Amino acid sequence: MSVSSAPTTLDVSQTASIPFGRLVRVELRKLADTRAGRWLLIAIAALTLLVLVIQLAVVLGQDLHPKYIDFLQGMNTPMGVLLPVLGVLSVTSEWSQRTAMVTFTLEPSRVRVIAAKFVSILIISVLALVIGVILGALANVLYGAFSGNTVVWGSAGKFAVYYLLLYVFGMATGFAFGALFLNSPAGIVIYFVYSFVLPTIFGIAAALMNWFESLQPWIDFNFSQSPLIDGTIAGNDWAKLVVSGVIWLVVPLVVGVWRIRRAEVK
Amino acid sequence: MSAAAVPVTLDVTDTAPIPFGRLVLVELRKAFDTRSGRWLIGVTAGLALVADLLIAIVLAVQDEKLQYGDLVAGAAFTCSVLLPIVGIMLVTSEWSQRTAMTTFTLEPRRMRVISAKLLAGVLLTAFIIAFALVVGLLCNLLYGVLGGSLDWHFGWRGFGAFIATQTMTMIGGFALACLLLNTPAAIVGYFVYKWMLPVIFAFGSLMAWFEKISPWLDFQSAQGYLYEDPMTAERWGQLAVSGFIWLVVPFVIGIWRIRRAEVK
Repeated sequence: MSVSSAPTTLDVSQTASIPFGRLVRVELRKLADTRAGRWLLIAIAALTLLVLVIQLAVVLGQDLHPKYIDFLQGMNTPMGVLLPVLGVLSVTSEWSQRTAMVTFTLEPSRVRVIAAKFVSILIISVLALVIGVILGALANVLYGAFSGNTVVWGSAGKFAVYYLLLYVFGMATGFAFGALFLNSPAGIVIYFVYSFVLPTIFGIAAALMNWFESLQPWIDFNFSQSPLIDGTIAGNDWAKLVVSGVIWLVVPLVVGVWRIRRAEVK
Repeated sequence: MSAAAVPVTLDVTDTAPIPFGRLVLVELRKAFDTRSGRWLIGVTAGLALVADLLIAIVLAVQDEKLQYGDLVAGAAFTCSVLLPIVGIMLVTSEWSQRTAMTTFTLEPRRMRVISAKLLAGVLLTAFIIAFALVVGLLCNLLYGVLGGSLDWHFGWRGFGAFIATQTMTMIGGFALACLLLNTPAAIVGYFVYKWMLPVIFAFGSLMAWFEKISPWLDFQSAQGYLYEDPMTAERWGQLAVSGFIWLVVPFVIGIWRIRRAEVK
């Protein structure tokens, strides 16, 4: 009985790795199945419906002539403000709720987890677009039925692509800020400063300095997204979108992913 | 040795209660001395400074007119966005950082803690206002040094309105925080209230019947009137009614909730 016990080893070489699809499903569930995520989704849906109902009441009461894109624009206000918060929380909640330990123990390849999170917010963007397009169409049809005016659709397919880009940009920017700060309040506050305070400062600077006015579309991501919102994007607007997007979306995302790879999980 | 152990009692009848001033000092320190609080106040002050420096330098170089009041307004706008978040975190961080247990054990009378927090929030508002005045002063001097002609014109009306609106904004954030007791929820709720609600109100006001009642509901527009135009009795009334809806009601429900909330 003096034999020292052999060190126990666990042979996991035969265990299949977690399929990526399952990771994505888990991340999607984390977005919808937590108290914060569920309430945020409920708030987005409720505010979107509220805006749409008010808009419909206003255009009918005032005898206005809205087009399909006007309804999409109306819904973009609540969705554009709140969807990015979901993007922030999808990353930061792992740290604030201390679930990162479990998540990264079950799947130690952190980049795969981040990729799954990113895919899950892309799926939410597509869902938001589908819901938005359907609700907008419904509002437009109702408008036509109640007012008796001709319903204007415009290039509905093109608008759908533009708004998908808007939702993806918004959620991805929130995601990038979340990865950069790894802290829910900090990520949310900085995102709102970026989307509400910064445009004001850029606007003042552009009004005061001519050289800055011509520079602004290239470095102000909020500004360069506005042609997507009104559906008039053309020519070098796309180039401006890419350049400013690199500054505010790609750079924070890369730095944030680098940070998550090295961050202490506690 | 068979006697039952005498229950130990702690006689605290002679211990003096914690003075209110000390509670306020502690709450102020919580706002400054935590990582989130320090960064938030640092970013607020930094943004205000950058905005004013930009205005002063650019206007001086371009030879345009600038008044002291403009600089104070510039700093004030920047501060007003982030200041309420300090108020929110004063309340919610007790729950999110789980310090509520310690806080309410050391001072079990929750209302005293809440009052101390509220006073700390108002003191911070005063501090930010003083900061805006000083930064404006320095940047105005800079504008003079760079060749602009100094103009110390300062609208007292605007200043009074600024103090009033800043304090109400801070208390608004505080009330929302008491209501939700959760940092991200309160911050998001506050931004929805501040940036989205005005859009919805403006939009709804296109309908005649809503336009009539909207001044009585829209707290932010009602506050805007403090800056300009004569404050008629009706405007004061609208301020009171909308303030009751957006400030008093959430505050009362929030305090009721904190008094009963489980401290965990």
